Amino acid sequence: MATAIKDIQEDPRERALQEKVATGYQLEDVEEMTERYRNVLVNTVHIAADLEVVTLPTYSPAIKTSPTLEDKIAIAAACQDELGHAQMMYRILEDFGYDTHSFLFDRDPEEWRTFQMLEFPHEDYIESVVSMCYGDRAGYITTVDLEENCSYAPFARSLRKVNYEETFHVAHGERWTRFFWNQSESSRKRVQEMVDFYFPLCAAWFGMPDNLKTRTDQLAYRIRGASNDEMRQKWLSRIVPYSEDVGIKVPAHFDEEQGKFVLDYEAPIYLDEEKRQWDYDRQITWEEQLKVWKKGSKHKVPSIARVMSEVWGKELW
Amino acid sequence: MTETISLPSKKDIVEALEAVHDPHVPVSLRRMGMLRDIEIDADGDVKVQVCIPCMGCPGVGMLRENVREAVLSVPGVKSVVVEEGWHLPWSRDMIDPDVQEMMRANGIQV
Repeated sequence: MATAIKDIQEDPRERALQEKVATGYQLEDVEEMTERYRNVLVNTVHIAADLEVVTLPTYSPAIKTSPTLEDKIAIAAACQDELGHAQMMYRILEDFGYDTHSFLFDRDPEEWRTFQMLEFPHEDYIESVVSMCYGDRAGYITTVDLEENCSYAPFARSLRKVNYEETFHVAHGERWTRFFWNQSESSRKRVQEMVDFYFPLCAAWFGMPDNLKTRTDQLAYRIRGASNDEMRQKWLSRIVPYSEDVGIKVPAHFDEEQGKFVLDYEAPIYLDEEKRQWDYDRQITWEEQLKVWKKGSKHKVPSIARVMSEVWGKELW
Repeated sequence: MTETISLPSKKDIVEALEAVHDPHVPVSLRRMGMLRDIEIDADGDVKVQVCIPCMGCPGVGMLRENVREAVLSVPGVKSVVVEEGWHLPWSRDMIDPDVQEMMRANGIQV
């Protein structure tokens, strides 16, 4: 980190661009970018695109077990929306020399940059709607932040449509999570099980706490407007009151003294992947957590390989 | 003394439905050309006919519930039937011109 800051101070172009975007200036052209700006922007869009694509192997297994035709359509439509978002992101990456086809089909699945929240294929429809309710809400908070704050105008503009669609996914998730909570004893039990599993995954979507984060270029170049902790707080401020209203138990609450929402556990904690169970009392180190994130779940590589080996046809893109 | 609530007017129902948006675009059903007919009988039973532009609309269940909730919130409404007019023709020129402009500006083809 010390080296990184020194670099910026020594290169007047980098510093000038940081000062410019801090005033709200938006870039329209690749030619206006410095090398560091370009790197952090491309990295952000690259990860966002990977995350959109992996929703396909994550959500699609639930199509088979969704109870009604309407539910099957809802899952298929959500996957279609997410791939549309990926396509928009690929279009942006092409301006930086990316080749969409080879980006999708010629990469080693292990190189894909995915987040743990999207590395567990859904086993049933309740898992999908809980994931939409809590996980798409987390994703929506990050894409709205990019739409409102990203200093690269073409990316910010492209996210308006993305966010319209994400609003629908979240609303769909919230409605059906509430429905299954009230439907029967067994569906309520399954909702709670899924929330117990997804809550720490979604809270971790926003990354490490601000005080431990070493890469700060996203904020310095105003690719994003809000920090990890600020976005996590936004998520908690929506998700905790929603859960309390429905009756779902979540490991977080509003702390009157601190005037903000806080987690009831000390992250990071241990996940038993096989059982899909968190041990809230077993804290692991951030170093261990980063290793888990880097490796991905056992489903990551087979899921991506499956998407890559599908016979999609020549006219896909 | 018995409190009498007068029957709602079509205007009351249309106003309540302004809060119900297309599932994918933050614009009311009326402005999207999807609100087709409203019938109110003498008992306060209301029938709302909506047109569903897309045959595989994933938001139709949510839309139906949102219409029901909005109409039931109008004083004097006793019950609501939402009729999904899958058979009704819909085309892009039925969208309000300013909404068409907004959608194009935000990357949605119309």
